[in-house]
Amino acid sequence: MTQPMGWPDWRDVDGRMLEFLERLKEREFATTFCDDCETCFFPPQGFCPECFSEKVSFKEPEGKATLYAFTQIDRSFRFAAPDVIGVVEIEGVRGRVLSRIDAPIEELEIGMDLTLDFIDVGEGYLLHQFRPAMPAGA
Amino acid sequence: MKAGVIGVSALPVGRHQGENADLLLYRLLRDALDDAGVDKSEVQALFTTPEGFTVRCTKIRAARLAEYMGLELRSALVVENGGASSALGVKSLVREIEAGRVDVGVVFSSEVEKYKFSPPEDLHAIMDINALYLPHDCLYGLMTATPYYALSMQRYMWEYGISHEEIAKVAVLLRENAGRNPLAQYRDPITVEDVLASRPVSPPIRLLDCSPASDGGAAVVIASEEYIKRRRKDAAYITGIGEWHDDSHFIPPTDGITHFPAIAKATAEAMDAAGRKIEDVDVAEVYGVFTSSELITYEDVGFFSRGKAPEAVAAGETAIGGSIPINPSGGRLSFGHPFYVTPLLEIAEIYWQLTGKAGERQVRDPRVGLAEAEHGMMNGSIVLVLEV
Ligand SMILES: [Zn+2]
Repeated sequence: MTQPMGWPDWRDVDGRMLEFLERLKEREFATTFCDDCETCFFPPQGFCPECFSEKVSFKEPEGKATLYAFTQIDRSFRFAAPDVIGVVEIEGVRGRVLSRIDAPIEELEIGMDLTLDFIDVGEGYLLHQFRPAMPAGA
Repeated sequence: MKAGVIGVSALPVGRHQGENADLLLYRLLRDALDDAGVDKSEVQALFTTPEGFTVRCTKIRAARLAEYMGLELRSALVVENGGASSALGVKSLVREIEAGRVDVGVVFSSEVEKYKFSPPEDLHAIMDINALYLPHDCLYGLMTATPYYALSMQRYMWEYGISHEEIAKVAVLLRENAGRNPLAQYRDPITVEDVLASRPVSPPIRLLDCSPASDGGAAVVIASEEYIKRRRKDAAYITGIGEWHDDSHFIPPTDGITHFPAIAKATAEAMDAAGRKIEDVDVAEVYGVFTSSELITYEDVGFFSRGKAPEAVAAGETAIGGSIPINPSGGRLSFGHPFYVTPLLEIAEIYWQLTGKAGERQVRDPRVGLAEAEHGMMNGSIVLVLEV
């Protein structure tokens, strides 16, 4: 009775999370964009939280990603524990992105620039993750 | 028509494994009616919560409970909105009384939770818990609220330049208070060093920064002012209620995570309804589930300005003898935290404090009390003002 990736089917109200996962398989991190009010929002959903329009389409955010906060979970059931997770802010996107951060926790700082990345989680799926952006000139 | 609390009952917080949660409820109702001196035939409303967080929840629950206890009711309801549920039950009962439909009613809740899960038998419970944390969050296997609060605590420390040592003091104080509460789950004293040396859970949160998951139960009897005066009951009147829900469940889309606007908005509404200012409050019980969120809640309720709660706690301002005693019960960290029951335990503590029944942890002559409960990561809050 469960969707891929072990999340309950009743949370996939409109099929947009499934589409999100399918796009990730193609190394495309895309979220939903409202064609009526032009809000780009995360997590992807079929109903605009700003204007209630259902005219939404997928779009890859282009804004800069920065690390808002981070921690470590020692009982990750998906990844090897301990695993670093963080909240990422992406310019131009309404809603913050919770994500795995691919770096040791000691190397992270609030506000640092991040680069989008992907991680293979088996069963044919990829998930998004972020890692610290290379400093200029490195 | 005002409403007031006229009696309460509560179980020791901790473990009631192997006991039947409904049977605990029936006993709590009987004991609360005894405490209030109310006959069973006078009960007109019965409000409760679902059975628990990790166990199977049934339908038509309020009617079934009423049938077992042989109660005819004018109002029956199961309220669910996370940790705020039983406080919302109290609000709903107060509104029924204010509307003149009900003279006497009871809000009660009990929890006998499950602490170990074994798939596949518990798959449903695991899925439901996982589903709390939004589809994109549960992809990363969060499964508990702790990492969210860790993110909040990290930023709180970073934004205000506060050390873990300064934050830990509130855990020490709450434990000291719980030492005076016979119903509390954790009563042995701890030190700041103990907190800092406890097991890291989700940095910067360590084990002693957390409240425990607990079993427990409580019942609160509420009656109309007319009934209270006619029957000459001791009462703590509910003079103001405020409530607010953000458009987010854990991490807000734009607002910060080092303050919880819902708490400030709910408090402002409750104070306004009571015609009171925050300075009028003599004792408070708040829903702090981690050390940092406990402190942030003190700030959002308005007792201290932002980033200043740790320093106020260190100065003893929130202690039982301080300028504004907060969580004299031991709070969620040491009283324990059966989350559906918690708001009723808070209201019970305020009732005990205002009616001079708080024993060794009695605050000196309080007249105005405040109880605050929440859901999500403080994304929704309900605040009640009680007065004698
Ligand atoms: Zn829109």
